[in-house]
Amino acid sequence: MNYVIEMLNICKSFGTLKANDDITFQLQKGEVHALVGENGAGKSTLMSILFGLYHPDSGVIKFQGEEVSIKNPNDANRLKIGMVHQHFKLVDVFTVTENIILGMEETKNGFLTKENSRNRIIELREQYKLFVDPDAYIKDITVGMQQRVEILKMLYRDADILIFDEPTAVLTPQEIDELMNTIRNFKNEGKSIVIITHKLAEVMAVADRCTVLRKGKCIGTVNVKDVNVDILAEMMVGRKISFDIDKKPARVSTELFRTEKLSLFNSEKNKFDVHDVSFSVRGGEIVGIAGIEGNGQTELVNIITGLKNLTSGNIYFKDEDITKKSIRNKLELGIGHIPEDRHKHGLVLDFNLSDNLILQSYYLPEFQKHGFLKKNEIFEHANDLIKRFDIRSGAGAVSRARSMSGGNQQKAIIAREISRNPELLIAVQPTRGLDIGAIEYIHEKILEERDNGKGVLLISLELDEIMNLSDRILVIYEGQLVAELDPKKTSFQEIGLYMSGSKKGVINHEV
Amino acid sequence: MKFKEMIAKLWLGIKKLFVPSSYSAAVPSFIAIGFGILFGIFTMFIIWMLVITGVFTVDNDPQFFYGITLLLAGGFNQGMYSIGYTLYRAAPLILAGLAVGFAFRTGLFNIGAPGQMIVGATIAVYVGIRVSMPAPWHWMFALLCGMIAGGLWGFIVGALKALLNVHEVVASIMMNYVAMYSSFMFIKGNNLLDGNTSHTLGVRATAMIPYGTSAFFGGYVMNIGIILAIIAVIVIYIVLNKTTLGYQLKAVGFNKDASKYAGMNTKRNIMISMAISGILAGMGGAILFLVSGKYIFVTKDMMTAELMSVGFDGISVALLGLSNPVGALFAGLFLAYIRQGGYYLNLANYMAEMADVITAVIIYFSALSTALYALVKAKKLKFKSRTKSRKKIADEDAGGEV
Repeated sequence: MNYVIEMLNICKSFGTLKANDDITFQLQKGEVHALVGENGAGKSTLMSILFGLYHPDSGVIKFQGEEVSIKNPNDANRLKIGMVHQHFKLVDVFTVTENIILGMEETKNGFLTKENSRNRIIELREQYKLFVDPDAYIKDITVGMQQRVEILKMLYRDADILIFDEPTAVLTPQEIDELMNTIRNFKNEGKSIVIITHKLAEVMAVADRCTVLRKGKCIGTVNVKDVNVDILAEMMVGRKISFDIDKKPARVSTELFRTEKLSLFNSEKNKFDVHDVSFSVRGGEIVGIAGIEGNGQTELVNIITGLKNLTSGNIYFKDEDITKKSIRNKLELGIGHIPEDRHKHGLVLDFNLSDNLILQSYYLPEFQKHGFLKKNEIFEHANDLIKRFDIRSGAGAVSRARSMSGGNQQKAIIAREISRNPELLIAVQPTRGLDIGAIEYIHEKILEERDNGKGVLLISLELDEIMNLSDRILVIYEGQLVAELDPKKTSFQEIGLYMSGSKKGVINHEV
Repeated sequence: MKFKEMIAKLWLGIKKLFVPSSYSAAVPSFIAIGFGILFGIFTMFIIWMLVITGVFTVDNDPQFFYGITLLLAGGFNQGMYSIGYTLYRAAPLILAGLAVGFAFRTGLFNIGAPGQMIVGATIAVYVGIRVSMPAPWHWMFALLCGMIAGGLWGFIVGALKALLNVHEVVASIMMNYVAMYSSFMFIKGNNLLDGNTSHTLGVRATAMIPYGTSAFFGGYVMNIGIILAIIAVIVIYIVLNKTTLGYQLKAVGFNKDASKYAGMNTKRNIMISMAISGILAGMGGAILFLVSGKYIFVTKDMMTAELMSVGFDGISVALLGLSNPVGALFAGLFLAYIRQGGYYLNLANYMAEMADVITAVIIYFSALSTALYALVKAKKLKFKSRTKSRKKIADEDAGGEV
C-alpha cells in the first residue's frame, strides 16, 4: 500500500496519563482520513506529534516509507504537512495577507514586499474557491473566514498533507457544507487529508477511512463505506449508544421568566453586545438559544444572572422585577445557573468536592451555626449528592475539584444547581467537552427538570443539542434575537441561515 | 470507652493541625532551609579559607568551627536568656507572616505589612505613653489600638482595590511610605520624643506586655507576646478552616469569578481580608514595642527601619510557612532562631549579617524549591515508567523467543 505518512506504535505519556498508547496510524495518498474519538482519546496529541509540537516517547514516523524525525513545526512544514488548529493561530491586528506570509515573508533590500504574495494568495483563493479579502484585518472577518485564512496559510506553504483539528466546531451548517466541498476538492487534487472530529455525521459525509481512538488506544481503522454511524459510535464509546432522546411532550404552564429589551453596550468596541433582547420562558419548557460563538450569548447570560450590569432593559421573574437584584437574591428567588465555563465560574478548583457543593448555600442555617461551618452536615450533603448524581472522584467528598474529570466536574455543578431546586435553570453549554456517556446523562437531567415543571433556558453552540432538547428555539445573531422557531418544523439549514445573519425574522413576542 | 474516644479525637485534631494536608506539602520548605544553612556554612568556609590562605588579612581571624556551632546553636547559645529573646523576636515575625499568609490565602498580596506594623506600633506607643490606665487594661488597650490602627491601614488598601480597582501591591507599597512619614510626623507632633534624643519615650510600666514567665527565663525581654502570637495563629486557623467567613474569603482568593457567580460579595470580602491582615500586622508592631527599653527611632536613617524590615520578613515567613497559620508559627520561630545565632557570630569574628545571608538564600530556595520539588517528582515518575516499559519490552522479547 502506498502510504504517505505512517505513524507506527506511537506512545506518549503526560505524567501518569497515557495519552497515546501504542497507536498506529497510516495515511494513504489522496484520501480523507477521519480520526475520531471522544475528548481525551488522544486525537490531538497524535496529530500534534505528527506536526512536531510533541515528541513521542517511543514509536516511528515514516514519510513516504522513510523514517523521519519531526522535531518542530518547521520540520513538518518541510515535509509539506500543514495543520489547522482548533483555536486559530492568527494575529488579530494583521491583514489576511500578513497572516498568511507570516514566517516566510519576501523582502527586497531588507524591506517587506507583499505584492507577489498577495497575488499568489488571490490565485489560490480562486483555485480553491476560498473567498476572503486579502487586505481585510483578521479582527474584522467572521470565524468561518478566519478558518479559510488558516487553510490558505497551509496551501501557501504548498502543504500536501492537511490536518484539520475539529474544523466544524465554530461553523454554521452552511459553512460546514462549504468546508466539506473544499475538502473534497483537495482530495481530487491528490492531497491527503486528516480530519480530527467527534462528529460522526461528518465522517460519514466526507471521509474514506476512519481510525477510532479510545482512551489513548487505537481501536481500529475501517473503510467508511463498510460501516454506519452506530458501529462507529460503539467503537468510539465502547458500548451501544442510542442517539434518540426519549422526550415526552411538554406540559407548559404559566410564564416564569421574561426579559424586556435587554441591552448591553460595549464601549470598547463601540457597539451593542446584546441589543433589545426580549423573550420569555414558561414553566415546563426548554427554550434553546442557538447562535455562533461570540454573538452575545455569554453577555446575555451574564446580564441575566447579574455577573454584568446591563445598559438598559428589564428582567422579570414570576412578574417581579429582578433587574437590579443582587446575584445572591436571584439565586435565592429560584434561578439556577450552569455556567459556560466550569473552571472559571462553576467551581473553586482548589476546594474539595463537598465545599464546592455548598458554594451558593454555605451561609444557610443548614450548613452553619453562628458563623461556624457544620462540617458533618456538609459531608452528608456531599455524599447524598454524590450518590444521587453518580459523581465519581478519587476520594469522594474530599477530592479536590481539580483532580476530577471534566464530566464529573460538570455532574457536580449540575448536582449542585438541581439540588437547590430552582424554578428556572439556565444551562449554558452544559455538555461542552464531555464524552458521550456524560452528555446523555446531562440531557436526561435537563429533561427531567422540564418534566418536573421547571423552566429551562438552554444556550448552546451545538445545534444538535438545541434541536434535540428545545421546545422552542431562539436564534441570536450579533446580540439580537433574529428568529423564533419550532424545532419540529424547522431544519438545520433554516437555523443556519438565521445564525449566519443571512436571514432575519420577526419575533412574535407576547408580553 | 468514651474517654478513649475523646483522646483519639483530640489526637486526630492535633495531627490535623500540624499536618495540614500532607507531609509532602512542607518538603519544599525543608529543602530550602537545608540549602540555606548549607550555603551559609559554605560562605563561612570560603571566608575562612580566604583568610587562612592569606588572600585577605584581617585583624581577628574568623574561627570557622566555632562559628558554625554558634550559628546552629542559635537561640540556645545562652540558655534560657537567649531562648527568651528568640521567642520575643519571633512573636512579631510570626504575626507579620500570619498577616501576609492570611492575605495570600484569600488571594491578596499584602506587601503593606511594614506600613501596617509601623502605624500599629506608633499608635500603641502613643497610648502607652500618653494614656493613664491601671495595669492589666493599659497594655491590652494599647495593643488593641495598635491592632485597630493596623487594621485601618490594611482596610484602606482593600477599599482601594475593591472600589477603585487599584492593585493592592501598588497601593500597599505607597501606604508603607505614607505610614513611615506620617508616623514620623505624628511622633514629632505629639512630642513623643525623649528630650533631645532621636527615639521615643519609653512606654509606661502599665502598658508593658506582662513578662509572664520572666523568672524562669531570667531575661527581661521574655514577655507573653509569643503566647499572644500563638493565640492569633489559632484564631486565624479557626477562621480560615471552620467559619463561613473563612470559607468565603478562601473562595474569593482561589477563584474570584466563581465566588461572584455564587453570589458572594467579593468586594466586601477583599476589604475584610485586608483589614484582618492589617490587624495582625498592627498587633505585631505593637507587641514589638510595648516592652521596656524598646523605643521607636526617628532619625532619618533609623526611622522605623526595624519595623520596615520585620514587616518585609513577614513575606519570607509566609513563603516559608506556605501561607499556612501553623506554618507561619514554625517559620517565624525558625527565622528568629537563626537570627539569634547570627547575633553571636561576632564572637567567632564573623558578621551577624551572615544570618541574613542564610535567610535570603532560604527565601530564594523556598520560592524555587516548589518548582524543584515538582521537577524531582516528575523525574521520579518518568524514571519509573521508563523502567516499566523497558521491563515490558524485555518480557515481550522473552515471550517471542518462546
